[in-house]
Amino acid sequence: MKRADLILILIIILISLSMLIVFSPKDNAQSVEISLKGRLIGTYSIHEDRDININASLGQMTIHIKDKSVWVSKSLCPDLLEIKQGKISRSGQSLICIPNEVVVSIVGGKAVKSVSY
Amino acid sequence: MSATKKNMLCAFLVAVSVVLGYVEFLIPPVIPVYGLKIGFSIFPLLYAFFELSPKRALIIGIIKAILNSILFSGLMSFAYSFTGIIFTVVGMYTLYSLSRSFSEIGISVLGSALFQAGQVLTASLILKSIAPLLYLPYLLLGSIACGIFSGTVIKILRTRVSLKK
Repeated sequence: MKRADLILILIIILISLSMLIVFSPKDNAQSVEISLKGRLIGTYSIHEDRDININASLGQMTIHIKDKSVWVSKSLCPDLLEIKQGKISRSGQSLICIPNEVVVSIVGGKAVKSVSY
Repeated sequence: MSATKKNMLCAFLVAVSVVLGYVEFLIPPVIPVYGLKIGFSIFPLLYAFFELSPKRALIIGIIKAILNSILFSGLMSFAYSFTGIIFTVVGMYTLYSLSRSFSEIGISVLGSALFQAGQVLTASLILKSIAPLLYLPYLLLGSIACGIFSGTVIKILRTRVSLKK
């Protein structure tokens, strides 16, 4: 490995660390936004426990909100990565299922009433 | 080496790449983060990049992306790997032509990082959400390890099987 290689690697590490700091999740979780194919299909308060069934691109998907955390339990996605991503509870975190085109993200800010569109 | 021989070698490298891609497809992802894989199928592309030409490497990458999406991962994944490959080869070519002070390892690390960046940007555009971008730092850190690994493999391979005498 040459010195130029090391400098390049250091630059990439610095970029990722600064991104990690900028994107770091915060504790002000208020609502859960679910979007399908890039369209927002529902906003739910994180303080109310509920199960949400949605018709995703590949079929039924179940999202749970309980005790201020969010997780996916049922999905027809082939790799089930969104289930393996586990529970999320802080604003700025999200669960993504690319084959299903679903993004579940926790948003901070003002408290909201639950709405599904 | 004649153009025909080079074309033949490219076809051979595409075949190797598809098989390596299949081997990787069989291994389930260990870390639940999208796209973080060692990327065996990049070896033939890197080999072509250094031994033949960046243009041929780009062609190999595009054909590989088409074949992989038809055979294994579905057409949806084509958009991701296609942008990833374009980012990778264009970025590696830019670095390679700007300065000769980088070794195979540096160029392959950059390629690997750009592949992730390309995929994440595509995901963000398709899902119209910034959420995939939040994974980028993890993917970048992972890509450094993958890039060092594949760069080292190519470096060894080039000393054993070199076309440039």
